[in-house]
Amino acid sequence: MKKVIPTLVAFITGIIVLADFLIYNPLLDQVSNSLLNWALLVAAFAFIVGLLNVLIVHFTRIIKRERGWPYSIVLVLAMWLVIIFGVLDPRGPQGPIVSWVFRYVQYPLQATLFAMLAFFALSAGYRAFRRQTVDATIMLVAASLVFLGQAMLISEWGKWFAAIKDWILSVPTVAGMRGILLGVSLGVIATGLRLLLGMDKPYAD
Amino acid sequence: MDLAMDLSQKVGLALALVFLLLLYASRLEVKARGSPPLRPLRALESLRRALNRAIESGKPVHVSIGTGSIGERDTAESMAGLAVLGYVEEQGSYYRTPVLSTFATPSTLVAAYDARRKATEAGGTPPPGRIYFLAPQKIAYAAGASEVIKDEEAQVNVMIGSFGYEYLLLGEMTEHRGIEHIGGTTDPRVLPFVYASSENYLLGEEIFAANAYLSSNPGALASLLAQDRMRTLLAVLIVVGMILKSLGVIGG
Repeated sequence: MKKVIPTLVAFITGIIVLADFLIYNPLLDQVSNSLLNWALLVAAFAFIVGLLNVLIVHFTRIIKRERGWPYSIVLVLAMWLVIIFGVLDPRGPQGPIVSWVFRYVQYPLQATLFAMLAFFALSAGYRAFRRQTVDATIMLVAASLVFLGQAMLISEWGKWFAAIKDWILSVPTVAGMRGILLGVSLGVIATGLRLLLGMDKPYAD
Repeated sequence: MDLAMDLSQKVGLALALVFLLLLYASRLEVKARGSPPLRPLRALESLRRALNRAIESGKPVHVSIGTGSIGERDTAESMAGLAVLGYVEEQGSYYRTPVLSTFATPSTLVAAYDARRKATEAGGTPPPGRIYFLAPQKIAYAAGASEVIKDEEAQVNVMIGSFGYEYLLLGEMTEHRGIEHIGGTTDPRVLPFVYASSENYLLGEEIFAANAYLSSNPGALASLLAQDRMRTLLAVLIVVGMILKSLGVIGG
């Protein structure tokens, strides 16, 4: 019974939400929307688990004086400051203090890390090309041709490289992407069907 | 009641029903004949070997299932990552090897606690190592996970699930520190980064095969068989459609 009830609930819920995509019926629509709202509520409660996890992990680090423990103090203090000011301010997260933290602390830090992506891509590419395999060579040649095509060379060669770049991006790249997406879609459908049919019961063991 | 379906929805529904039949037939086949022969996937073989080395050294294994969540578009990718996490947690419980896992969304965090509970039931004791909830923002998550890997001196980094550009940040930071790295995701825009960052990679749909390879779960094996058959069927349909359209038999 412990396994049957969750499987049955998952099956019925899945079928109702799926049927709502295909069939127009006001009652079905209402039931499906309610189920989706319940899912949102459950997901919101999961944030409390996240909050507790952060507190437990970082208090443990502070108490045990683990490597980098002073950062844990900063993290816990910053977290509580944002929560308290967000809750006390009637405008919530749009309030001036929380907005300031996001605008002048979080976003610049994110932008700094984001700016490093180009260098990381370069070093990853360099390492891949050093493998000296057939696929790495194909990647190197294709990347070089696309790069030359993007460079907008003024000479006659420029037109040729631009045409080659367009062909690479619109024929082999699109063909490969479609192949990958087809396989991924089948994997996604299979996962969904397995859950719907109770072949996988991550909720019932 | 009104069936508000256009042609593409009807075709989609028909293909889903065919897939359902194939899945059921494959399930019966796996039950009757056992596991089908599977082509080797280098990344999963590397994962097994890397886990063995971590077990011998006693150093932690870090697992990331990406920045996806459960209940949204990337649920299937997150589930695939959770299957790998479940396997690593189980090994960690059997051999007392620390398992560190980092999460960007609360729904996957809750699923991770469940994976640890199941591993504890299987192995008798919970695996050492912590579960970390870091940040829902991709860059913040990558920075946090990178610090966890550095501070806890992880020996292996497994990144299988739903990733965006943060994969490159985390993957490269791992490679620069000389940590063994196994990666896999489905987004075609991220796959070049996965390929470039690591020699042990799962590309696209291969991440959905991980559960069947690692757990030998009959449902997962049947699903793998059904996916292969459905892919063959779709390839035949595409080629036939192309020929018919070239001959002018069908229009559009």
